[in-house]
Amino acid sequence: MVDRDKIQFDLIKLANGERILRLTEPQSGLSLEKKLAPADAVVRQKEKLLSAFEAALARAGLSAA
Amino acid sequence: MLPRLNFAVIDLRQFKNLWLHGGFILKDIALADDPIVDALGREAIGQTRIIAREFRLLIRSGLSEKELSITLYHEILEAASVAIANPPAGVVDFNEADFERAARDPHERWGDASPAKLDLLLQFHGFRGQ
Repeated sequence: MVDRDKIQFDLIKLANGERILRLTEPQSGLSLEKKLAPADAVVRQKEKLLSAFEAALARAGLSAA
Repeated sequence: MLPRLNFAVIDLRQFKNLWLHGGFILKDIALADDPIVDALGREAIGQTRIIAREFRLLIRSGLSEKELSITLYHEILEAASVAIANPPAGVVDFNEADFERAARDPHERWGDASPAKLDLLLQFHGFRGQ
C-alpha cells in the first residue's frame, strides 16, 4: 500500500494545452505519468494512475508505505 | 491617456507559505523567466507540485493579470482535488474544462485572486476544515 503523503504529484500544463499528471516516488525517482483526457474526471484519472503506480512500486519492491 | 497595463501586477508574495481552507498550504509560488522544459523537451506554461497537502506553483512569466488570476484559482482548486483521497462531491466529477470554468467564474465575480478568495473558492466547492 502506497503512503500517498510520500508521493509527489505534478500537474503540468504544456504549451500545447495538454495537461500531464506525473507521479514520482522521491527516494527511487521512479515516476509514472499520463496525459489527462480532457473530457474525463481528473480525480478518477488520478486514482487509476495512482493504482498503477502503486502496483509498479510493489513490483519493484519500493512500496512507499 | 495612459496605456492599459497588460502584465501581471498581482503580488505573489502574499501567497507564499499561505495556509488555505481545507488544511492545504501553498508553500511556494514563482514565475519562471526562462521557458519551463521537462526532461522530454516539452515546453510547459505551468507546473503545480503536490506533496501531501503542500503545493508549489511554477508559472511562466508574461501572463496578463487576468490570466495569472485565473491560473491561481484553477491550480489551487485542482491541486486540492488531487491532493486528498476523498475530495468533495462538488469537484469529484470535474474534468479540465470544469476546473477552468470554476476558475473563470470567481475571477469574473470576485476579481483578481487573493488569499481570502482562494479560501472562499475552496469553501464554496465543499472543502472543509483548516
